[in-house]
Amino acid sequence: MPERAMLIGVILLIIGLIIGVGIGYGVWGTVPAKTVTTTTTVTAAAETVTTTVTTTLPATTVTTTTTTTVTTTVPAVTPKKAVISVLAAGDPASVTRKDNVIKACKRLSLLFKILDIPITIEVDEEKSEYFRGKWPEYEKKIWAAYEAKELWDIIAVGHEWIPTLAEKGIIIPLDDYVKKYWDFAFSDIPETLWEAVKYKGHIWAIPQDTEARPVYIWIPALKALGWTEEEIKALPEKVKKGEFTLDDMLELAKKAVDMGVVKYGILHRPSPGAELWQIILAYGGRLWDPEKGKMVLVKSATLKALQWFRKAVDMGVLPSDMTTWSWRAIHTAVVSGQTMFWFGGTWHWAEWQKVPYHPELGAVPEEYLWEHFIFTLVPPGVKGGKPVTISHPFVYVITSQADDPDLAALVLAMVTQPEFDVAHAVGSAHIPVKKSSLEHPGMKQAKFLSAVAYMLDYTSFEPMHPLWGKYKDILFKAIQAVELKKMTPEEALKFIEDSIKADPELVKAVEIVE
Amino acid sequence: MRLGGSKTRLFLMTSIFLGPCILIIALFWISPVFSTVFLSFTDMSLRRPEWHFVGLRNYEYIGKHPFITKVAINTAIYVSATLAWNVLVGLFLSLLSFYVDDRSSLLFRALWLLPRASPPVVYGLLWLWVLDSSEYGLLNQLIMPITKKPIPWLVDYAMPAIIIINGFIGASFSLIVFSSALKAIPPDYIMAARVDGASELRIIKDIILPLMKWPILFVTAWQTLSLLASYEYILIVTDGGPFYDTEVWSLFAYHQAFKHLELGFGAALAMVLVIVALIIVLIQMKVFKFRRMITPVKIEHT
Repeated sequence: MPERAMLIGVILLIIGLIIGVGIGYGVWGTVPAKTVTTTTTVTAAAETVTTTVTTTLPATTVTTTTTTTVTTTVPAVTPKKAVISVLAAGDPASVTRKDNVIKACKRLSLLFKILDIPITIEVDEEKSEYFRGKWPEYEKKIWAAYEAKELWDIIAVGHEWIPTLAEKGIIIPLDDYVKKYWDFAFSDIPETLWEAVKYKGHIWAIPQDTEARPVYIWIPALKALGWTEEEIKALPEKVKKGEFTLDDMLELAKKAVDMGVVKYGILHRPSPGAELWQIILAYGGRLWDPEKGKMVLVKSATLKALQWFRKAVDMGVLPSDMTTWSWRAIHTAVVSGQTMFWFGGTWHWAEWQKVPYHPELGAVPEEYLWEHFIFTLVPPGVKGGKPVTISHPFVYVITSQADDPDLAALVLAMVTQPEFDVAHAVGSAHIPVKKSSLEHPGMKQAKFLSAVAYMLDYTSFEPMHPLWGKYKDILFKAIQAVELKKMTPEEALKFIEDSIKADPELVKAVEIVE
Repeated sequence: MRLGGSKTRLFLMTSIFLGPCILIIALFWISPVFSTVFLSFTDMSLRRPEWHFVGLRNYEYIGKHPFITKVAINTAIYVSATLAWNVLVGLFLSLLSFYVDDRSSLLFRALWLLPRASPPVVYGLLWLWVLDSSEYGLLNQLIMPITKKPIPWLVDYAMPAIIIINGFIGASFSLIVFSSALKAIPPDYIMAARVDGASELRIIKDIILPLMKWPILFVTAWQTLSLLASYEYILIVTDGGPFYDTEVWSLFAYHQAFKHLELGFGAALAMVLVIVALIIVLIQMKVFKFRRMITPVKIEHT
């Protein structure tokens, strides 16, 4: 009997599968192919054109109207057609890294049409992608596409990837293009950002955005501890002057936890990232020697940073298992006021407004953030020291497999125009790359960005070295071991040193100084 | 002439029938072994355009790595504990299903097969939710009335957690093998023992278990090898952490090759694992008398 029942079951399952496949085919078969934006191709003609283009760009949070007057002599151009694809990645609020490129392509197409230039730009929207996942996965995706000769024309990456991508031949140098479009697009990008895209004497990328990593402080907790409005407002200045240190931060956090004002004193990111290395810099350390092109381990500063992490855990202000938390749990704790301090980034300001992290309010309005948070630089390790932050400029690169690098460069010149720069900055709470963007009408809404812009004066960058990923993994593991009390700070420092020395490549790439 | 013709025909027939199979084995089983051996002597990395032969440098680095001993110990604990769980739980469950009626036993076995039938990512994510450190984790919700505060399971009990998670998958495999072996035991033996007044425990000890010797040995040998090479559930649940606590050898090799993109070093680690696995196989073949194990079914001959 059971055998018979089983047999009937199997037959029914097979019939079900066949019907399922049939339905699947039916449904998929009716889905129309994705649309691809196409502009019209017009015949070439040598003539002088003077035209005024007025367009309205619907950006994520700003709507800007730009009037451009173009007067140019159009040479007889061979008709051509190019397909541009773009790959970008980042937090949920930074999707404009991809969308801006697509809009810039459409804008160029429109201009070509008006100017009777016979160039057609198609955006391969099927291939273009905004990746949401872990950075090593993103990296692997690029390597795999390169090997398969399926690279996108334009890719947005962190600036520290440039040496690896350049050495591997995945990207092309952009010196000539930067020179060509200097006045049109690039002249007001600050020199520090150009430094972040130079490698072996060449410019390999166009800066896309930058940011700072402030410490967010929960205002209601300060008030509960008896701080006045004036004292709260004066805190960022005290940090700037070096009057408020990392140890003061621990004391304040402990007081708040002991009084039951907050559940946690301090929270930090759970994965390797610049927010953690800032503590090493705050104790006078450095990670990168641009002169020698080598990464650096300053033992004394790293030890002090590790000791600070341990002290925070011992005082009960930093959860020992911080490095195992999920991002969602962290953001929920931060926006709902469960922590006094949060080592965050400027982009979190936008993320909290877009992603429903608050248990009751969901995505919180900007007024809520202004009422509840004050932000400062990362305080120095010692009184009178210099506060710090680390910036991580995102950049656009053109790949060596791009169909038409000239056109891709023109697209990048277009996407660097203030309206795109501002749309991304405001929508994602990153700092615009162009000085002129700060005067753009769209920036008037961005009170937060204006408030954090001063932090760039205190910023530095992560090392631009192909092995930085490996080195930072070791640093992260050491911090994790100290917080989990699996190692003392001294043992963790030895672990970092031993790991560097044991690795045949890192040993050559990292300079160890006392 | 005739003999020659028949030889040719035999060769042709053999080639036709075995050729595709040999080709597939050569392509997908043998060639990866050779390429792994080759890679392990190079500094090949996805991050560099060129690569060089570096001799034994990768193997030296394995010896020098500050946490290689920890990784080796983790692997030994993980493999032996999960293996013990797989075999013992599998045996217990199959005996349990042996004593219930056919329909219930079928349902029971089907339920235990669910973890194996679920996609690893779904299964891993379910466990992540069960063992979540916050007060929202399923296990914490259940025990919070007693403990008053959540327990960070994947920090404090990371290794036991991955042993249990993998154990459930392995136990279902053992359950299937043992159940079919139990079915093959002639019922006369058990009936005769019952008529003679033997207790059920005595029947299990003196009749069932001796007749199950070969399937138990097979499961042990097979599971040892698959556990040595398995890492996917650990990758999903703890990713080897916290701080190397659940970093087993195969996951360490994966991290080197696919996280740090150091293919040469990753291949060297994989080669060490292959050699260790080969040694274990040879030992098991000796100890378990494998040759006898693969001869036709014993039960009918006893």
